[in-house]
Amino acid sequence: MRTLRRSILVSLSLLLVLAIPGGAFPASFPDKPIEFTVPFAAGGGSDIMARTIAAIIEKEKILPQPLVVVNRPGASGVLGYMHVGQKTGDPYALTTATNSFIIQPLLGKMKLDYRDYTLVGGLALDEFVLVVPANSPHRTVRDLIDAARRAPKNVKIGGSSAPSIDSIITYLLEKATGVQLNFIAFKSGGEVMTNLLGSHIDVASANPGEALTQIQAKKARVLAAASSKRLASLPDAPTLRELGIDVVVTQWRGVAAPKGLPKEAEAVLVSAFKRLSDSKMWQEKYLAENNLTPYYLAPEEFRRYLEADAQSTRQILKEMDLIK
Amino acid sequence: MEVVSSLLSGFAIALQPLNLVYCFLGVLAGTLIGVLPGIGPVAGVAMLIPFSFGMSATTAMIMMAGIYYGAMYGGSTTSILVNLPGESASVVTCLDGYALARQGRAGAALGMAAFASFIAGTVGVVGLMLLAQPVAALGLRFGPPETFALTFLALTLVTGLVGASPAKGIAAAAFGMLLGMVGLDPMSSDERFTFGALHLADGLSFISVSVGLFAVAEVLESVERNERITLYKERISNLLPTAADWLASRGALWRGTVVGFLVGVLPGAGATIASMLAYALERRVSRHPERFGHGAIEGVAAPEGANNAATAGALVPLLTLGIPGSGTTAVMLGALMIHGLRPGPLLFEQHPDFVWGVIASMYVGNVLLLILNLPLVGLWARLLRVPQSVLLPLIMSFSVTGVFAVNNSVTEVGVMLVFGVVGYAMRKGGFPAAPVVLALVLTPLMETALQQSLQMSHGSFAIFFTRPIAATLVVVGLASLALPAVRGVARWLRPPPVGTQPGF
Repeated sequence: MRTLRRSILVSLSLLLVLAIPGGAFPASFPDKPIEFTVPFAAGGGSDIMARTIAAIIEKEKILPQPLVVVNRPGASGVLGYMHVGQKTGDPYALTTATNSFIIQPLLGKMKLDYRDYTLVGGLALDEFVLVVPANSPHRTVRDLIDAARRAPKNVKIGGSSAPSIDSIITYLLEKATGVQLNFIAFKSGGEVMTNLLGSHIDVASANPGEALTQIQAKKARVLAAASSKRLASLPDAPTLRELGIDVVVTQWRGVAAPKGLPKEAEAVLVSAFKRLSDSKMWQEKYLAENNLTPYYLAPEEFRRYLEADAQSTRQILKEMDLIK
Repeated sequence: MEVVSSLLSGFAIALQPLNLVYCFLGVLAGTLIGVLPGIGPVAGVAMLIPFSFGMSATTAMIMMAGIYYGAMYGGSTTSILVNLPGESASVVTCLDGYALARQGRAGAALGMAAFASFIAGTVGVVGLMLLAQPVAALGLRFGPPETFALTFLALTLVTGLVGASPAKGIAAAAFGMLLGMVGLDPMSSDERFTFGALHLADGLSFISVSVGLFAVAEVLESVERNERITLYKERISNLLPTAADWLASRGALWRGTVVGFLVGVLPGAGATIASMLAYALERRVSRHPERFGHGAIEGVAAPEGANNAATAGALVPLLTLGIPGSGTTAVMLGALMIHGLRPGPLLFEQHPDFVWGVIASMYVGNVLLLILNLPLVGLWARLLRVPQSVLLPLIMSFSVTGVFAVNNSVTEVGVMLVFGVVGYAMRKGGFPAAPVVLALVLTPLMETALQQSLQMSHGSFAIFFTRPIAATLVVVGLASLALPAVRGVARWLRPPPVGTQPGF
């Protein structure tokens, strides 16, 4: 009798446990605040995006419940990505995603990869420019490459951390031109810019948003953009491709959730982020102000985009001897 | 005169009722954030960004700046009262602040912290107003070699913090350096000392380690001592610093302010390193260095002044170059861009209302903070009358909450508890805790700068001696290391006959 009662109790509680994340009452999603993880420290690009999203979703009443932004920095984003990735079936856990979401699993530093997540949507692209101090002797990319050819490994190029999207740009630049540069890794884009203005490095790879004010104040000059076409904010800067150097690098930004979400909840999230990316506030206050390119991708397109990105990134990391 | 008229128009903006209200809310929130360990100004400012969306950029910045320097006022409170650093920039305040509290002089220490913050904070704003451009230019001359040289100098000064036994102090600093190397290598991203634990990949959090080594170890020792706490013998008679305290602190106040402001300008250094350098410098120049760690009031005045001046310094690169030099100013930059204002080198020309409104608000905010904090001194000091059986569990729960808030992670709490036990063992063995945390915070910065410098110079150490600023700092550092050793050897070689020492 006792064992029977216990087994009923156990199976009932098991049922309950299984039923809750399975979306017992899907119609009411979300009926509590959604935790929006930022796998980086407060103040970085991902953080600014997440807080802007949370504000717009609340202001425009896109969802009936707020997104609560929580920073879980560490291990190049792996801690935050894993925190969300492990919550299988929980639609109340979102994370921002950017290139490290692809790079870290490829490096073997993260057990899950993009296929282990529900992709909610791609949102924006950030570009890269090559900038030099205003008083630099290098007027063009050609000058820079010639200097590097004359003295291999002597031209110092600064970027944020390594291995990273910045060190990949340097590698691609070296590969396309056949010269050797000296990559110096800094902690943040801000540090890269101060070291550039102090002429401690010869050239920097930076997001347009980081470099624009320095260029406008004539403290720095842009040599080229690593984008596929000229940037709206810097129309005079040629792309590397125009200069015969086939290097195009973009940083993407999107949102992911754990896999196995209840269908209804997933649909609510996907349409919420679609509405977000259509909103005027998003386009004017966030994208335009931060010099980002609008680039909305629905989940399936986003998956295909990441698939291609993972493939090309793997190839580059292999060539860089970072993975086998 | 242009400055005067600009400042006056700035005051006209800062004193608008709405801006005044948000300035007050900012400094109030900052004080609370400062009191609570774990939640620092970075997270505090970031959390309030969404609330600022309805405001103008100026109002938002007035509030955010208020949080930033307000946190530096609040950070000292728990350091002094219960040896629990409320902010990483207030760790060194524990050393003499808590010693003062145990002597029944918590009021004097808290009062001096408030006055030092006010004086240095205000002078720092004067510096920001008058010297922003030249100081920013000086800051730009600090590349990786100069940063390495500065951290090297700081580390040699840290060995000067050591108490009775130099050997134990150096061992503690070496232990701290080792802790500082846990995590990913700054250049190659290889894992070091992580034992495969994902949480260690980002290194040990400074606040978890220092709360463990200071507060938890103190709680453990208090339990053992089981003393009747006699913190409040003299009633509330000496709530404020005495004339003697002021006399002892006058040098510390201006040195702390200058060091704090200059270090605050440098990228990556910030208020924490400023407070440490100011404390170490004060001990070095003091005629009675043996008083430090045993309740020297200037050991509170110097770091508390420095960390406030550093916040004004940290705004220099943000306002003159548009480049954030610290975590908090990075968050501010992000918030300003959402408001459609993009700080850059042209900010002073293009948005004078914004810049001068914010600068004027900082004068106002510092006055508000002094008015806010002085009455609190009595209130906080009375807290120490709470029986120990209640106070100790309170300290523990406060520590756990604060440390958890660092990364919302239970692992941080574990780290804190482990270092509580380590700190207890160190006390039993006579090892000082301060060099451990100071080396822990300096090491990552120093190591990164070293690797960057050597990458720049293709492995040659000559880079530290061919650049004038770096060379000067390294030589001063080497000299400060060598001096005690040379003195020791000289004493050992020929014990001087008393009174016949020639004047060298």
